[in-house]
Amino acid sequence: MTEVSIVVPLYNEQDNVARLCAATHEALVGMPRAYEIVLVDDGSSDDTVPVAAAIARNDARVRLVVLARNSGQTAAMAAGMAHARGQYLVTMDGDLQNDPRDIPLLVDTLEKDYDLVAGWRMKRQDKLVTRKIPSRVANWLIGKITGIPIRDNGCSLKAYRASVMRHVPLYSEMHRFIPAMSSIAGARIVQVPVRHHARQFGQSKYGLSRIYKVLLDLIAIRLVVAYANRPLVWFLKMAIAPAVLAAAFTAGGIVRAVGGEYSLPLFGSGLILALAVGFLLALGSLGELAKHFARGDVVPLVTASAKYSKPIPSPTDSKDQP
Amino acid sequence: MIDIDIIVPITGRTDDLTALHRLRGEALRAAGYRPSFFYVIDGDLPQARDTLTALARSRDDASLIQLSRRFGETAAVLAGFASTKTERLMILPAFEQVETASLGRVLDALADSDFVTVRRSPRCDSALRRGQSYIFEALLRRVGNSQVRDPGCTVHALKRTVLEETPLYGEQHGFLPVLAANVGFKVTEIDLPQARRDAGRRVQPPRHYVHRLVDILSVFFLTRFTRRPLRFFGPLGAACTVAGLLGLAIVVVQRLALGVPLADRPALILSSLCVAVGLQVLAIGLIGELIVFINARSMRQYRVREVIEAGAEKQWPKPALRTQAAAD
Repeated sequence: MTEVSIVVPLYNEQDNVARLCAATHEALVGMPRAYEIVLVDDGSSDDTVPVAAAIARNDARVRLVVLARNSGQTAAMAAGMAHARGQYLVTMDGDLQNDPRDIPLLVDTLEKDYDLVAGWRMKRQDKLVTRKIPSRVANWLIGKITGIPIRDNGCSLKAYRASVMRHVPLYSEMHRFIPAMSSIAGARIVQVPVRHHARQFGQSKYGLSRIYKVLLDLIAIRLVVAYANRPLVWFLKMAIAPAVLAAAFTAGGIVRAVGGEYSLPLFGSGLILALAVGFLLALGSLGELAKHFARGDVVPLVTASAKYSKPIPSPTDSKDQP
Repeated sequence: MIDIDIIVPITGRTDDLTALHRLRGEALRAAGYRPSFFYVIDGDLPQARDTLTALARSRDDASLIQLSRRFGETAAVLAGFASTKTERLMILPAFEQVETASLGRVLDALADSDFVTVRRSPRCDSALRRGQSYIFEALLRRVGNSQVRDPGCTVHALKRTVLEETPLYGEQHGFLPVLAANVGFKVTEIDLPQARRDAGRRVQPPRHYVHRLVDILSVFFLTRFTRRPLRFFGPLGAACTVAGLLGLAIVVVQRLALGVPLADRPALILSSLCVAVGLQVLAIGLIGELIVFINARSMRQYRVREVIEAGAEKQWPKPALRTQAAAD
């Protein structure tokens, strides 16, 4: 009976696959739980599939899921999780920057009554200006906006209870926001410091170009995290500013009119903004309608109370760092 | 001999169907296939119905499906699909578009591909028609990430799973290769000579071009932003709102601090309009996100080609057949 499934999305990692599997096996020798590695090829254009397939055919602990086309990291993770058999899921990058030796710690922490264990890279081995600083800003923003202050959302090394992940919708580029999304489902989240290595082979697939996408995604996440159950409230809040402006302009217009001078710009602007308010309220009602006709629960409730806890002290000391 | 079910949607333009049926049957049998044709008449086309009724009565390899009213070409294809049984299918227009004698090659190409579409080459159309096709193709390539060089050609061969797993909308039967590639199917395009009879004479009514443009726009949206509507509406709405707010700030400062009069300028109304429109566009994007989130768990994010593990190599089981309301 497989207990732990390690899900690894791969995209053009032909040089890393074999090392990754070997390192994982080596790291988990002492772990008393049965595990499997679920490799997910996300439409690689290099020799990742033949290399990984050769490993999967000869090793009963490794399975390879090949996606028909490049579908993105989130979809690859979702596919891996859908094919995983374990009750604990661990996700990890395919580029060996995460250290599989951290897996037992994550799983043990998970078993102590948590639903999600997020790793954070304590000594990150990346370029400062292009990777670390943007990431710090992004993490701060994500924490502020979603209300789940995760220190390192970009760290793929995370462990989840499979029963909880079944209720978390994974789509588009949601993998960055899994903690926030699973907090909707009431997941109990904890953070653990993990090791991090510099990339040895292959190309990094991230850059600075995605910032505006992440920002838009954040707004969307904020909406669904906080307001999926009551969309009208969100749109009411959006309507406050134009309503205030509309009232101010109209009041100004009335004051002028009382003074005997009609002001077209003031009345016109007031009317236009009032129209926008009406439109926003109508859209909010439409959101309520969409929610009403959704099949099943909009927001799944897994556990009764969600709690967020501070990072627990790590058993891995800095002397253990490579 | 391999059995092949062929769907022929009939929406208007037809050649002599009896002769075409015979020619196509002969060509495919010569290439080693045993075809059965499913003619689907979309709406009220009495002439085609009479011809095909006679054909279906007299021959085993022809069936006729009559839709109760006009539903569009896609619905006709799906209605025909519901009657087919073979693993490999063909969709052919109700007129000769490529040389009939070479149809077997389309099916042959299906051996290492999920979907085969045809480019009419060499083409014998007039320059005007070729120009139209070129514009259409260039638009589709830009907006739909399409690799298809002749989207106007509706001679297709495909595996059954393609129609089961590709969501089809409206009139977009012609976009099938683009949508299938978007789901993750392997689409190949082969060159076949255009039929002489297909060349040239038609000029379409303006309505036709409007429909095509609308379809291209929906393909654009469906292939790029279905998962993230805010990524489309967000930048538009935010830009508009920010411009409006800036305008408002400038107008207010001018009026209050500098004493520039407002009454004879549209600046205030224009700025308010920008804010109002921008907020509305943003809000529509947000509603879209909400709908995506609500339905995310029943959405298909990916398509698994195969699962490889120790022991036997196995294909991942096919998902349940998608139901199509329009085809009922």
